[in-house]
Amino acid sequence: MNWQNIFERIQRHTIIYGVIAALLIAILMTMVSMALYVSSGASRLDLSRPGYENIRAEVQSGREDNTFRANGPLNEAVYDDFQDRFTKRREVMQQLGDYRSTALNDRELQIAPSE
Amino acid sequence: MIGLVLLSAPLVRAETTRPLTDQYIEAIRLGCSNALQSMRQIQRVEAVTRVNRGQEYEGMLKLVSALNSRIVLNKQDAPRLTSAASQMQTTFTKFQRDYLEYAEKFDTAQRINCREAPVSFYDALNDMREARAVVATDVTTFSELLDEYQASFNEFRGLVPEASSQSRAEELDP
Repeated sequence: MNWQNIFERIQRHTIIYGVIAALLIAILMTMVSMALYVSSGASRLDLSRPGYENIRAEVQSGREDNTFRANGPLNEAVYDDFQDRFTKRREVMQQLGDYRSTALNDRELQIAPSE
Repeated sequence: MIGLVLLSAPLVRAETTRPLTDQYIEAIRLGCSNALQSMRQIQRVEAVTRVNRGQEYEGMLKLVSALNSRIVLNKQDAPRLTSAASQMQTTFTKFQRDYLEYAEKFDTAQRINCREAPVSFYDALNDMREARAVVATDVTTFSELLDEYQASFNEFRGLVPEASSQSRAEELDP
């Protein structure tokens, strides 16, 4: 079977081969997407995964704070405005977990022998 | 024979401070199913913390970057503010990377059959705790940099109470 025959066969069954080609491209693109999703670490931060339904509500909706402009004058009012935004963000951060809880200690996990 | 003796030795593998005794290994074997459940719950909570912290850090970086730009556009010099902001960006990138490593180690520990291989499970658990401690250090570092930024900002504010409102953009477009 030479290229001429292959070309004629494709021309005779354009729709079938078109569908097969579309499926192959879709599978390939999905594989590439999944590889990127896993390798970039996005999969570990994806809270839409199964098992995260109950906790998803605890994600704070992103507070876009774009109103502090990168240009303009410098004066007391601007400094106060900046300080206010800065302090508010720090307060929110202080309320978040800091990966220091003892929840992963042997005793908390109940894998330490009883004394 | 030597290998068999080594494998069955009572002091198998050390946590960083103390060796695992037979009694400890048995406690791990018995308690690890419950431990895994608790770990899964902690993993979910800390994933949310990671997302929330990430959002706050990004917001903070945008805010300080806007102020730094404004200072430059007003032809003022604030090297300490610029340096602190730059270090904050570096720490945030490190935090992102370290968290992924921690999450990876979390998954590794959970994949081990802890009833059949309690020592391996415990080793993986310790690796995971070490990775978690690195993430906690990043959080502390970021917080210290914010303190530094605040101190530098106070100093700058004292030195430059007011500056020209004319920005370079306005200069270019009179």
